[in-house]
Amino acid sequence: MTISDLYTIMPIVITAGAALFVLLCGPMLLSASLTAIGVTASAAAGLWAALGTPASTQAVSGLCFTPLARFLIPVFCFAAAVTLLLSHSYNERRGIKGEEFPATVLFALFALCVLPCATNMLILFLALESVSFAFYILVSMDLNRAESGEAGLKYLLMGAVAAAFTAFGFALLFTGSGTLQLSGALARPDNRAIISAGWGVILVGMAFKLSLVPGHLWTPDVYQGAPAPVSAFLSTSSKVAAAALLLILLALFPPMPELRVPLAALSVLSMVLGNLAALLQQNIKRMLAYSSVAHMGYLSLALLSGSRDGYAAVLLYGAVYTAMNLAAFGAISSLSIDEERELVTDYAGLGFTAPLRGGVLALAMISLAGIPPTAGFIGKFFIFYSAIKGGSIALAIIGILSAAASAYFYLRVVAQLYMHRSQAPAPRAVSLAEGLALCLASAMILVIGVYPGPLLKAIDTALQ
Amino acid sequence: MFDLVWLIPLCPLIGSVINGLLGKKIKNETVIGGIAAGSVFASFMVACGILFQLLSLPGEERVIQKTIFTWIQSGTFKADIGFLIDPLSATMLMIVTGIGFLIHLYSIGYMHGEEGFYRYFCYLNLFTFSMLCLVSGNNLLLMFIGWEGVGLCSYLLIGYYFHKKSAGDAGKKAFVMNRVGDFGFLLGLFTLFYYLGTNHNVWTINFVELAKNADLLVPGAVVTTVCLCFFLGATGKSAQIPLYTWLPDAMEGPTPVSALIHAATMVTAGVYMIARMNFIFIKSPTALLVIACVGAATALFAATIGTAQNDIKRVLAYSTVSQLGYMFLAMGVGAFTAGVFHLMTHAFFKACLFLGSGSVIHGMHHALHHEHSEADPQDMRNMGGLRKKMPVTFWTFLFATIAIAGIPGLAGFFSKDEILWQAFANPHHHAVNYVLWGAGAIAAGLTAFYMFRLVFMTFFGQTRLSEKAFHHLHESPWVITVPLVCLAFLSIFGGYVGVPKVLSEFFTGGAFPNYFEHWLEPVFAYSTHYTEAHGAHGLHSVAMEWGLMGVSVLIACGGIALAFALYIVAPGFPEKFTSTFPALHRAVYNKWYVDEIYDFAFVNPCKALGNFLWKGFDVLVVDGIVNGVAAVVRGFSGILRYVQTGFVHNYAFTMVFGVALIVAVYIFR
Repeated sequence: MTISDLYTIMPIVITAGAALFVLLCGPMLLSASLTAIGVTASAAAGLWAALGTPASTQAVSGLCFTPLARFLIPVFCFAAAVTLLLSHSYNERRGIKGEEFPATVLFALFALCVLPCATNMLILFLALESVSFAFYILVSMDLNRAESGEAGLKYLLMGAVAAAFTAFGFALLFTGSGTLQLSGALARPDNRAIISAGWGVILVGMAFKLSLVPGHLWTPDVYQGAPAPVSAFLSTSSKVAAAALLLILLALFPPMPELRVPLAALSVLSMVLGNLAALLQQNIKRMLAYSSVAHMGYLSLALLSGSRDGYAAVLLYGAVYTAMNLAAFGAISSLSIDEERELVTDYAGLGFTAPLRGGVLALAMISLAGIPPTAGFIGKFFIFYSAIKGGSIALAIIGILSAAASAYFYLRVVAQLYMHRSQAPAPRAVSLAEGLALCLASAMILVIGVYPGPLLKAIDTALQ
Repeated sequence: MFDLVWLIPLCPLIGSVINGLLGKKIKNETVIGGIAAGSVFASFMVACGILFQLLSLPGEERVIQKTIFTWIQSGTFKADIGFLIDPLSATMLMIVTGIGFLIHLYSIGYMHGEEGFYRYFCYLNLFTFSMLCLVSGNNLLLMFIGWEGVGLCSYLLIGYYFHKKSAGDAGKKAFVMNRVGDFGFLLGLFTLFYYLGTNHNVWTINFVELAKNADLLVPGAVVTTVCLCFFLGATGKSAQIPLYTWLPDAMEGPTPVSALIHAATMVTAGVYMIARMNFIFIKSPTALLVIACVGAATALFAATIGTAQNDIKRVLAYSTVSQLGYMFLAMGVGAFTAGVFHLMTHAFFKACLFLGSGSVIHGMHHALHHEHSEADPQDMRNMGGLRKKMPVTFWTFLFATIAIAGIPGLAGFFSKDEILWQAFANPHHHAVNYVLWGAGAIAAGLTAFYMFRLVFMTFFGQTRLSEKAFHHLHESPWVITVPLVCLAFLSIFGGYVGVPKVLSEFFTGGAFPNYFEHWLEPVFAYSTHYTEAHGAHGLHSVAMEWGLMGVSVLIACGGIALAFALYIVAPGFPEKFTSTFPALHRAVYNKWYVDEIYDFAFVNPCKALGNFLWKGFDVLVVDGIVNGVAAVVRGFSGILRYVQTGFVHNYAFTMVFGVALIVAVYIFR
C-alpha cells in the first residue's frame, strides 16, 4: 500500500478517525464541539470523495475506490452531516447525552463508506452488517421513551434474521462461483441452481433492509419509535446502502430471469400495499414508513429493468430519496417540542407559525408525491421511463397509478400546514444548525428538480 | 423580441417569490397587488411584442425555438428548457397574460381586506408562471411540468378559504382527479417516446422534432393508445366526462380564481395540448371519434345540470364544462382552428361572466352583511332586480351572456357556429356526424336557456332581498368594473377576427377574411394535408351551412324565449314544473348523482382497502395467522418465549413465509 492508495480511501480513514476521536475524547469536549467535529468530518469525507478520481486498483486488500463509491460516499456523507446537524438540539431537548450518539453516527458513516468500496463479498457483508449494527444502537438511543427501546429490539431481532439470510445467500454465491472476489467471478452455468438459490435468499435479506413487502412490517414500528433524526438517517442511508449492494451484485452476476419474478412481485406488492396502507395513517412517522415501503417498491422497479438506464434511475432515486426524507424527518425533528408531534393533525397551521420548517415539510411532501419541479418528480420520471424502456409496461402502469393515488396522503400534510388554524402549541425557534440542515436538504430537492444535469452526469460516470 | 421570451414566465415567478417571501412584511395591499399585477403586465407587454414580431414574418417562418439550456440529458433522453413560439403558443400567451392581468387587477379589489392577501397573489402568480410554461414549452416534459404546476396551484387556490371544510375537500378532489389525468399524460409521453425510439430510432419529446417526424407515426393501435392516454390527461385537466366532477366543486375558491383558472386558462390546457399535437391525433380516427363523442356528450350532459342549479357560480361552472365539451368536439372532428377559436372567445366571455358574478357576490355579500343576514350571497334565489343597483356589472354580464348564447354578431356565435358546422360537415365520422351536430345544437339551446335564466333571476324582476339590504347594495369599485368592461368589449368584438367564410362573402364580398384561420394555418398544416391526402372529404354546401346556422340561431332564441317565459312572464311555473316531475328535478339538481356513484364505485372501495390493509392485513391477518402458528411453536419449545413483545417473531415469520414463497416459485415454475 502506497501513500496514493491511502489517498484514494481517505474518506474511510477520515470517518473512522473521527468516530474514534469522538468516542475517546468525547468526555472531555462540549457536545456542541462533538457535533461540529462530526459534521466537519462528514463534509470533508464527502468532498474528498466527490473531488477524487476513481482508482482502478485496490488500495488495500478488499477495498477499492470505485466510480460507484465516488458517487455514493458523498450521498452518505450528506445524510450523516444533516443528521448530526439535526440531532444536536433534538438530543438536548430529549435528554440524549454523551458522545455515543455522534460517534455511532460516524461509525455508521464509516461502514457506509466502506460498502461501495468493497471488492469482495466478505467486506461487503461486513460493511452492511456494521451499518445495521450502528443503527440498532441509534434507534434505541432515546432512553426516556419506551418506544425507542422497543423499536431497537424489534429492529435488532428482525435484522438478525435478515442478516442470517444474507449470510446464507453470500455463502451460496461463494459456493456457486468459487470465489469471494467481486471482480471477474462469473457464474458458471453448471452452478446456476446454486447461484439462483443464493440470489433468492439474498433478495429476502434485502427485502428486509429495503422494507419491501413482506419484509416491511418492522418499518412503521421502528420509524415511529426511533428519534426523528435517526429515522431520517435510517430511512435514507440504510436503504441506499442495500440498493447499492444489489447493484454491485447485479453488475457481477448479470440479472437472471429467475430474479425477475420475485423482484417484480416484491415491487408491485410494495408499491400498492405501501401506498394503500399509508392512505389512512394518522401518525406522520408511520405514514412516512409506509411511504418508504412504496418508494422502495419504485426503486426495485428500476432495478428490475436490468438495464443501464434502470441502474442510473436507482442511483438517482437513491440521492433524491435521501434529500426528500432528510427534509421530511428533519422538519419533524425540528418541530418537536417536549414530545414529538405524532399525528398529522398536530401540524395544523404550522405553515404560518413556523414558516421555514412548515415550508420545508410541505416541499418534502410535494416532492415525495412526485410533483414537479421537485427532485421527486425527476426521480420518479426516470424510474418509470426506465421501466417502460425495459419492457415492464404493466408494472410501470401500476407504479404510476399508485404514485398518483399517493398524492392524497402527502397533500393531507400540506393541507394541515396551510389550510387549518393552528391549535398546536407554538413551536420553538429554529436553531442555526437545524436551519442549515433543513436548507441544505430542501436546496437539494429543488436543485435536483430544476437542474438535474450535473447529477445525471455524475451517475453516468459512476456506472462505468 | 423573440430572445426575450424567457421573460414571459420569469416575471410572474419573480412576483410570486417576492410576495411569498416578503409579502407578510410588506402588508400594504396596493404594493402586493401592484407587484403581482405588474409582473403579469410585464409578461403581457413581452407577449405583445412577440405577437407583432411574429406577424411581421411570412407564414411559413413563424416557428421559432429558443433554447435556454439543456435541462436533462441521460442516455437517449434529452429535454431542454426551451420555448416554442408559433401562432398557437403566441395566441395562448396573449390570452394567459392578457386575461391574467385583468384578473390580477380585479383581484386587488375583490380580495381587499382578506386574510392572507399576499398568499393569494403569491399563488396566483405562481399559477400564471406554470400556465405560461405549459403553453410556451417546446417539449412534452416542460409542458408536463406546467401541467402539474397549474394543478398544484389550482389545489392551493381552491382551498384558499380554508376555514370552510368544503373548500379543502374540493381542493383535494380536484387534485386527485387531476392526478388520474396526469397519469394518462405521463403514460402517453412514455409510450410515444418509446415507440418512436425503438421503431424509428427517433428519441425525442420536442414538439418541432415530433412534428417533423410525424410521417413515422403509422396509424394503428399504438398511435391510438398514445392519443387516448393523452386524452385521458386532457379529460382530467379540462373537466370532461368521466373526470369533470371536480370543476363544479372547485367553485369553493375565490371568484377571480374561478375566472382565471377554472374558466379562461387552466381548464383549456387539454384543448391546447391536443391542438399542439394535432399531427398525432389526426392519425387515429378511433381516438378522434372518442374525443368527439366525449366532447359532445359532456357539452350536452353538463348543460342539462346547469339548468337546475341555484348557485350563480355553479351554473357558470357547468356552463364551463359544457363549453369545454364544444372545444373537444371541435378537436374530435379535426376542426382544430375552430376549437382554438372557441377557446379564445370562451376565455373572453366566460372570464367576463365569472368576474361579473364575482361583482354580484361582492355586492350581495356587503348588502347582506349590513343586516347581519346569514343568507347565501351566491344563491340566485336571494337576488333579483340587481340591474338598477349594479348597472356596469349588469350590462357587461348581459353582453357576455348574449355572446355565450350564440346570438349573431357577438364572439360566441362565430366560434360556436363554426364548431357546429364542422361537426356536421367534417370528413372523419360520416356515420355519427348528425348525432354530434344534434347534441351540440341541443346543448346550445340549453346554454341559452340556463344563461338567461341566470340573468333573469339575478338582474331582473322584483328583488328578493330585504329593503334594507337592497338599499345597501351598490356597484363595485373601478378595479372590478374596468376589467369587466374590457372583457365585455372583447366578448362583443373578439369574434370578428374569425368570421366564417360564408358570412364574410355574403356581407363584405370576401373583403373581411377569416384572419384567425389564416393565422393558425401553419400549425395545423400537416393535419390538413394528411386529411386531404387520404381522400377524406367533408361536406361543402353553402346552402347547408346557412341552413344550419339558421337552425342553431333559432334554437338559441328558443332557449332565451323559454327562459323569458318561465322566469319573467310566469315566474311560478318552474316550481309547478318541479313539483310535477320531482324525480327528474331531483336527479338534475343532484347532478345525476354522479358524485355519489363515484364515491360508491371508487372512493369507498379504496378507503376500505386501505383500512383493511392497515388494520386488517397488518394487524389482524398477519398477526392472527402468525399468532396461531406461533402458539403451536411455543407449545413445542420454550425457546421463543423470551420474546416478550409478542410481535417480533410474527414479523420474522412473515419473512420466512416470503422465503418459502420465493423458493416455491423456483421449484415449481
